[in-house]
Amino acid sequence: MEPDGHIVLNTDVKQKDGNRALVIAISDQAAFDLGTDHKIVSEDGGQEIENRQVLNENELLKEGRAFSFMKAVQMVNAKLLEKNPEETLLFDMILVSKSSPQSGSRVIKSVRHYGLDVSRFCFAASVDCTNYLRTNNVKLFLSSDEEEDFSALRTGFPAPLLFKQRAPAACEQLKIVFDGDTILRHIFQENKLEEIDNFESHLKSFPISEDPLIKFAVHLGEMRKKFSIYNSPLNVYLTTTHSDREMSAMALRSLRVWGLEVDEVFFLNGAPKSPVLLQIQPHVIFDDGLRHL
Amino acid sequence: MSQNSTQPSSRPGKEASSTNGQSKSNLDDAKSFYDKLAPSKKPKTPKPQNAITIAVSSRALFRMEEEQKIYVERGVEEYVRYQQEHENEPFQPGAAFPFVKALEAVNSRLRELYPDSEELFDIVLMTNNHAQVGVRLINNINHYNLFIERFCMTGGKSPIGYLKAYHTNLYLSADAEKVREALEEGIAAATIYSPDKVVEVSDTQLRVAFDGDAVLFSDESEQIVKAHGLDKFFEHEKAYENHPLAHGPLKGFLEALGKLQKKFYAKGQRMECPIRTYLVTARSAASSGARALKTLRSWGLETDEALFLAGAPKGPLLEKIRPHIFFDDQMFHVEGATEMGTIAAHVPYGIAQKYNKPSSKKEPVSKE
Repeated sequence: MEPDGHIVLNTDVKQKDGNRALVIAISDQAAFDLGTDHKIVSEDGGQEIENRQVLNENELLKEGRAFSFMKAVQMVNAKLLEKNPEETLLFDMILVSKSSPQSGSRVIKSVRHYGLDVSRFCFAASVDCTNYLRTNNVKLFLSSDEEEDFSALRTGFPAPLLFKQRAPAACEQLKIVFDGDTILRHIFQENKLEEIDNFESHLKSFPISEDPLIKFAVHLGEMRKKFSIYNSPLNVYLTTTHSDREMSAMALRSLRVWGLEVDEVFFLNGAPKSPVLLQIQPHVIFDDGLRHL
Repeated sequence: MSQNSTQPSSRPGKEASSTNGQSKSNLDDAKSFYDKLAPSKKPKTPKPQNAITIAVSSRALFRMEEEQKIYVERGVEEYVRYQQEHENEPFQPGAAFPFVKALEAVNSRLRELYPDSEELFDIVLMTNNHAQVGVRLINNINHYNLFIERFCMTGGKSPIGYLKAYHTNLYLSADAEKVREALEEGIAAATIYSPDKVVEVSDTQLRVAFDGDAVLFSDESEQIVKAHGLDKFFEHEKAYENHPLAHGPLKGFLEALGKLQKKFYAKGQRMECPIRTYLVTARSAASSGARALKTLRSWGLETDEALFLAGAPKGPLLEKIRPHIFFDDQMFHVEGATEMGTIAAHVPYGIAQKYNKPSSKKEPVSKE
């Protein structure tokens, strides 16, 4: 595998159709447990980190927080291809790393070892990946929470929370939770409900392409439709905490108008959300309200 | 259960308490966004840990026989499509409907007397229907102006885990399997049946009737009846009069009702209390009844009326009482009640289940 600039293709894996696939960027720190390497404060411009990584090159990286998400995503792809070997509506995972390609070889080796369905690596040591991600239709960016460095990179992409699952997840189902209060906030922005004459037409004329979260939800909806109602490898949940019945129903109907038919719904109207989340054991949660905790 | 609102545990090493202050203000911001967006004219729902949580399934709340038929005969995809096509059509009220209405009536009275209290009934629609059927369900709840603001639609998965997560005090379902599962997990539950004829019930006073053995009490005495017959049972109970029975699955619910009743008594409203409870038992006043009453007393509980039938059928008496729900562990009594117009619920607990004849009311496992 020859590095081409700072983008490296994973030749173990079939490249996806960039126009049809749902592209997800994942940071190496989320995918793997990088140990203490990344915490080293480099006074010598990163050389120390580089040296360590090169030394540890042959040690396999341990699974990180996003690992089970990646396996579940991969499983969904496999099921889609089972139904249709020519399927182009797949998930496409890109691994983003702060290392250079040289020190990143450990990451590459680990991905290949685990057989992860990662199509490309973007090494951002000295190159700004932002443009690459944007021009490559990335719809989602997953990073671990401590990565402030990635905050600029993450701007403009929905960045869901990774839920800490009870057990390393058995990957029979990819579980994605949307917070309905967040969805409603995106729909209404600063408008009041009364100011919107016709809710249905407001939805139909909604500028989906300008809203990354909704854009992601719509794309996900297309994929969900490939599976049957029950026993789908992809399960989508809608929860609301503050919205009352009427507003929660609006969130549910809005997603439906946009093509995402959620499977399970929990309108909590003030009740705490954690018991539900603990029961669901999702992989990721889309919730603006919790982002700043 | 923690008072704190949700904390997704995606942050290693960050203590929940250290982010409390900040989380509260962000959630307050979110909340005030919604209040501005659509100021709710409805009263606030109580937090689960303060309230008495009643979970009802969709088929307990509404009549969905047509739809159920489609599910059984043509499969789930057809069923969901049918529901979506008829989304704006109301269902007929189901067995639990009057009960839910009565709970709301009690809540209104409680709010008048104790405006700041959260000790109220909290009704949750708990269904394993797919979320897409949810739109029709919510439309119906709007149509009938029911005060249900919490919804759990588990898309085919068992709702039992969620029942436990929300400390459900009572679960009513039309599906006996789910009820059994809930009881096994320690949740008070019953399979509710519609009466064969329509009988009016009060819309200002909630009336709940309970069988004694294997409902409020354990089935220990029931076991004696089955093994040795009714006469031996009467003798045994007289002998053990002063030994309290162990408690049964619905004792907690009676206790919760009693707590609310006391709130009315405290405001001098004993006569006009909108909750009335009944013990309707095959025990006899002459012999075995005393043990039942003494047991209740030892628990600090009471029912407003105690009716000892000494083995006589319960139907005619219940017809006079007109409860919103009558709980019994024996299908024989449940059927006897519904034949005479009483809304009855079967509690599949204890020794009687081995002797239950398969009832005509048994339905295949359902989408509900």
